[in-house]
Amino acid sequence: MIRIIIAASAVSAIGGTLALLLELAGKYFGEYGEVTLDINDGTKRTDVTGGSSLLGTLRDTGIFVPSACGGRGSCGACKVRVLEGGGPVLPTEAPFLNREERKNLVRLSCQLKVRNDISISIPEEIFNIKAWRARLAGKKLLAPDQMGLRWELLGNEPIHFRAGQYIQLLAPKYGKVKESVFRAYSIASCPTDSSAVDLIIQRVPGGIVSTWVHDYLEIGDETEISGPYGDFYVRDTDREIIMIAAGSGIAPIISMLYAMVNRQCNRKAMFFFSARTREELFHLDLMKEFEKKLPNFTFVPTLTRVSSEDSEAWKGKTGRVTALLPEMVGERMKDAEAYLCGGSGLVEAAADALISMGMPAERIHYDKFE
Amino acid sequence: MDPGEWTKNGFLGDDPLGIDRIDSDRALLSQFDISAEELGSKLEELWNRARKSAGEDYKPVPDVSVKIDEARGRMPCPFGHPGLYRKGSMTISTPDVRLTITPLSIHMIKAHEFFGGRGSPFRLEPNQVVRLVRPLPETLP
Repeated sequence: MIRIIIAASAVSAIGGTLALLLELAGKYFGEYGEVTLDINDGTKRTDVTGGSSLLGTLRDTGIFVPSACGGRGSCGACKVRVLEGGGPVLPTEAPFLNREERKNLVRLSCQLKVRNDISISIPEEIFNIKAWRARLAGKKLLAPDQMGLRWELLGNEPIHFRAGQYIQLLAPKYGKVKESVFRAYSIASCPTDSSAVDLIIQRVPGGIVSTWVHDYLEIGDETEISGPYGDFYVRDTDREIIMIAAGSGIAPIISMLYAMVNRQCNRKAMFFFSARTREELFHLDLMKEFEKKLPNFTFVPTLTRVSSEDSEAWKGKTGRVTALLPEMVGERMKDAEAYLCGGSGLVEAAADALISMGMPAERIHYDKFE
Repeated sequence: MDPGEWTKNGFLGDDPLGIDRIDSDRALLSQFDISAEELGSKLEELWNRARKSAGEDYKPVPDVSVKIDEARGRMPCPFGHPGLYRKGSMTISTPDVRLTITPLSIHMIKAHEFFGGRGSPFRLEPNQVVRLVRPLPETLP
């Protein structure tokens, strides 16, 4: 019996010692000390503590590289060029990097650990991206699966964005969801409204963030928003504007229309908003307001599935947007430009139709959900 | 696969078999003389065809209606398979059954013979998927 006790005690002691050694080894070998981070060839140069991901390290220095998955290596959005000090491409980065990107030293910043002096190159616009704490000031169900949110930005820093850009919204842990996650959503508010952002969030079956938004989020809750991101915005030309969207794809279009009102823009513009049924249409009153304020703007909602209940009440267009374009735009398409936002199927079908009607591909701008 | 990692409720559900559900489902499918890969390929073809309907319901045959909803972003395979899969869902409705299938689910069926764990909201019963897919023409219109 005594031998058993002695043996058990010995095993416990050995195990405890090994655990302690591992802990000390982790602290010693995991500490990389101070390293130098050089961004854009000396534009910003700072000493940082090594050991964290490049994405996290940049964030800590106030630089917010886009990431839809919050650094979990599942979205591929956080690419930066690492000119020196990045080490070999990791297996977790490989699926996201094509041959051209590898040749250009592109890396996935959430996977790469900063272990030594490192030199990177990022687009200039990333320096404009900031982060805010935000408080939910408004929540309204706009259509069965579409939730409108208004987030007031806390602190004194205003947000400066172009109509059409998007932000990243952080959903915290909740229910069975054990980690916070980021998702990208287009801004639906007016660019001059610099103290808040409006968003439109579609429920995705089983989606982590959209379920939080629709089912858990309450007025007064706070979270983090970063941005603005993206290059979907109205170009400064005199061309007629063709806008096409469905569902939450209306969000950047709304922001664009607000901006046009502010600039008293006289450009001819047409917005085709596609929905399956009448109940999926929303913001119709807002569109009527835009039609009053923009003399050359026409709103064209269309239903692709008119139920027997809707058929008597619905006096608007029916059928696919692509079928309406020849009738409603026709020859003018060759000189117009387009802004498309929504599911990739709609965007691709619309782009094909526009090109077949003579619009050059370079004048088609889109933010497709993919 | 657990809740909160890829989706709110996870892919395994509360299935006591866990990932061993794959073997159980493979045995079930053998009764129908069709493989998970064949089923997955047909679902993939249906997704690609329905996407082109640009928001309108797609009807491959009179009694079957397919609706696609897309969301921003892509998701990796929980099995570590390379590639990213679109977010969104395909709802297939017939007079008898209605199934909602995601692109990631289609991939997991085709490449990993995984229909989801019992109790997961993403679980697809193999026999229901077979009943849906079998009547579809070899080449979708």
